[in-house]
Amino acid sequence: MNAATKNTNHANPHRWLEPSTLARLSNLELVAKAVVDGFFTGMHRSPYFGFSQEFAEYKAYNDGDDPRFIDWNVYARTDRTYIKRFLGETNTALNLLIDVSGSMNYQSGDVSKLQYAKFIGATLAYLARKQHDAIGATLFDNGIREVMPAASHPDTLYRLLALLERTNAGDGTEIHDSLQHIAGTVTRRGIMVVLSDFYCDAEELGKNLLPLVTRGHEVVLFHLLDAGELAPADTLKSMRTPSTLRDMEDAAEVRVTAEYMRDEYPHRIASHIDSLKQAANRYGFTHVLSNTARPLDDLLQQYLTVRQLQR
Amino acid sequence: MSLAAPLFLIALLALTIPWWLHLISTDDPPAQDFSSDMLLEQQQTVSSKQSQLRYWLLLLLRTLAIALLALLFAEPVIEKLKMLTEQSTRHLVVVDTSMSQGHQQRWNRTQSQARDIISALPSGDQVLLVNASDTIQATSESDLLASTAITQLESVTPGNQQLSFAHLATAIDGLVRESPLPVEVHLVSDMQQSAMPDRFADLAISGVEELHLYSTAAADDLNVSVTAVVNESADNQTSLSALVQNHSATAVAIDVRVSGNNGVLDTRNIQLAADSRTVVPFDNLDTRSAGGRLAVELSPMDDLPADDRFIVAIPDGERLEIPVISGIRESIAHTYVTAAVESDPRYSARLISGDNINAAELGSMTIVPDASTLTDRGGSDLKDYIEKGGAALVISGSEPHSSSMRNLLNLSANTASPDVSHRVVATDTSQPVIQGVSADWRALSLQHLLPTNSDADDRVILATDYNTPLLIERNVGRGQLLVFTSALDPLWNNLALEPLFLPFIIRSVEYLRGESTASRKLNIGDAMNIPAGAQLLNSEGESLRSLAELNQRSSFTFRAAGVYTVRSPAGDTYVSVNTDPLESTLTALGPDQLERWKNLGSNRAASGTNSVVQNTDSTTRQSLWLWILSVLLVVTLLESLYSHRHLWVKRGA
Repeated sequence: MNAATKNTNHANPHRWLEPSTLARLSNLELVAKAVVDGFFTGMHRSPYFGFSQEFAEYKAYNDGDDPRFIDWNVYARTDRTYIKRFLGETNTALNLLIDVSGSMNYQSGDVSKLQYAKFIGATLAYLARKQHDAIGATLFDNGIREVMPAASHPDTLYRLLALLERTNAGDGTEIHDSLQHIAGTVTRRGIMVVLSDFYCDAEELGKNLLPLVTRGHEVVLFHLLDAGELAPADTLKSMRTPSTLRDMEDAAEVRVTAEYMRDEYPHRIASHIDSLKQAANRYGFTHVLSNTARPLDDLLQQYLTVRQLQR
Repeated sequence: MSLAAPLFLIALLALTIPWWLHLISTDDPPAQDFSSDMLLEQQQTVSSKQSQLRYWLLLLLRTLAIALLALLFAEPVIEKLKMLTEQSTRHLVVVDTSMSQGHQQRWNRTQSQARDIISALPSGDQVLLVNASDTIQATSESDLLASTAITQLESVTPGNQQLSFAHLATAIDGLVRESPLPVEVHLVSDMQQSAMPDRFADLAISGVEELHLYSTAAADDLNVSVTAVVNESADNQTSLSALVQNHSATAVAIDVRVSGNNGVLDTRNIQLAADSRTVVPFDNLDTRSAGGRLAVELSPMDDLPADDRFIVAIPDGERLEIPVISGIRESIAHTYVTAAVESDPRYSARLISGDNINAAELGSMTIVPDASTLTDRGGSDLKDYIEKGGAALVISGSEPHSSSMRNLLNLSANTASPDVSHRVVATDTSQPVIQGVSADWRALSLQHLLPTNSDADDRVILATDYNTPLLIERNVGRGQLLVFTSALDPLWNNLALEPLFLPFIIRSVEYLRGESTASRKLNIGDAMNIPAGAQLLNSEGESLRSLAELNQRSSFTFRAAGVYTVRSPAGDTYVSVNTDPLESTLTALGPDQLERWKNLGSNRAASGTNSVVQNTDSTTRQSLWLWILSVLLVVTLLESLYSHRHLWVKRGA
């Protein structure tokens, strides 16, 4: 590493957490470690650890516990050291619901949406594992493709990462049916993280997620979109009038004009995103929008901030 | 419509390019993957149709642009067919462009009159514009539309030449004979009296339907002119006389100024009554640095400035060397001739050895005082020089001549005639060498001369009572030879002692050099023979003869006023060229003369030279270049705007 690179690193610490850089890492475990460790050590000092920040109980201090959580007020009163334990540290289950349909394979940049979803999933799983939380995953496209029930076993993380590694995009999407099925089968309360591009009706999505919210699950929607979906006229190759666009799931072709993609489509996608946000507000889940060029730590920071505001 | 350069239509092959591109481009572009069509709206069939329609229109514009470009280079012309009926007439509008028409008021009237004539012509008639001065020339090869004729009229300007009505009549006669249609001639001129021929009948133009004469002269046109003559010029002192004429009906006061290269030498103020003339003498002008020329000018100049300046050529103080070839320096003939040459302040004699004759050293002419002193080789060299364009005065010798000299002089005997007194009885008084002194030749005492054979082409200038030629002019090859068949020997004749000897020698020099007293002053339009080996320079010092012309004798016609220099190895001769004084006299023909002229000449019926024409087609050609270029520019602009509007794809930031 030369001086310029060093300086670049110091000047732009996010560089190592950009999806294009992470994509070069050999496996998701490294990605997860890079994001989480990078997020918490020297880049984003956050006093908050774990997913759940609500105080749960006191525990006697033992060797190996983090001395930062020693409650000194209690020590002053009792001359005994106790540490605070938070809700996140107590048997929270992280369930990743990952859309692996054909549309998730779209990419205009360095990583596809599915790959980006894998990064997020691996990162959250890694973080949860550090908190000794249970981890599970469900992959769906036009139906439930694969389910890994939430478990706290030490191997669960690696099994999940391996599952993600070998997963490729499928065909169509039946997100509503999949969410209905999941809502009916997941019993353990926890955090439901849905990673998808959410090309579906926002109201119906909200209705399908409502049962999970009602049962006490914390539902977080990571709305993943490629830069080419947010501003397609900038990224579509040789955009001519007219052009033919082919749906990656059902191969339906639509003939569009450059003017439409430039002027009209961005309004449509913005309107759809807005409808999802409104549904999130209405039905009590968290909506986090991200494009696949966004650095992971940035996304993580936003997520944690949003969660903190909601509490 | 026809095409002047149809070969350029090969560029129409380029039309295949936009068609080929169109065929390629109409293929549907390959479909691109997009994540989901949920938010896409089909622009489909309507858009496709619109796109295609737009593309076809664009193809059409581009095809049209290429076709127009090819047509532009092919130079299309449209030939307007004019159906001529038996009433159609061809009008020759002849505009006098001689020097006198340079008078500002006259030229304005001329243009206005010509314009009115052309504008009033019937639409079915043809018009041809003709410029008339020393040359009679139509402004175009074919007949013109009235508008075109008027446009061309605006670009016509008068020159410095003189117009002769007789010459004009002859030239117009030729144009009339060529015409299949009845011809009317419209002559717009200041009708100068001085342009009239000696014989009135010479003005007749046969076959003319009608002759219209328009006089642009006015009695109050003011003109004062000047001419000059050098009275004496020697040793850088010149005396000249300026003749100033007032051609107008108004008295004038005017300055007459003589200038050289370095400025004004003298000025006189004179008063001239109406229609009068006066001679203004200028004596003892110091022409040391005049550069061989003086300009006599009037100040202020009038409305006809061309004749307000007269240029005279004067010797520059250096005598012109005349080569004199002699085999024996001390011969008495050589002495006589040398003395005669140098008696004229213009000349000096330069001895050339008869054993070493170099044509380059001889210049335009030479004198051989005693032909018998030249050897065979000398005679051959001399003959060679003359044949190549040189000129020589060869005086026979009293001794036997070499064979080459005998051949050159065409002597029938190498011995003198018996000692019998001869008299000159026949003289060719038209020959400049003896002009005005023929009586003196008859008084010459001749004892001997050499018999010569005269050819049919020889010009015998002087002959004796024995029918023996004494002075012969002969063309040898491209050159000229004057042969005097008696020796400059007191035993042969007393020529050298007679007063006519000097003018004989000097005039021979002038004649053989192409000079005469009159020829050193010429008018614009006059021609002059330039001998071989001599270069002609204009007032600015520019050469007027090509290298090829230098080797031969040729004629040069002067078209502009100034002092010209004839430069030869023997030295420089100056020739002054001025406007013809006849053009300065503005007196116009009277009404009765004009009327007589109009009625002069036969009409069409009498001459029968032109047949009645019925329904003849005539065509005039008009180029469409500008129209096509305009359309091409419009099409190109439309194509640019159209393609920009519909095919441009914005890229966001």
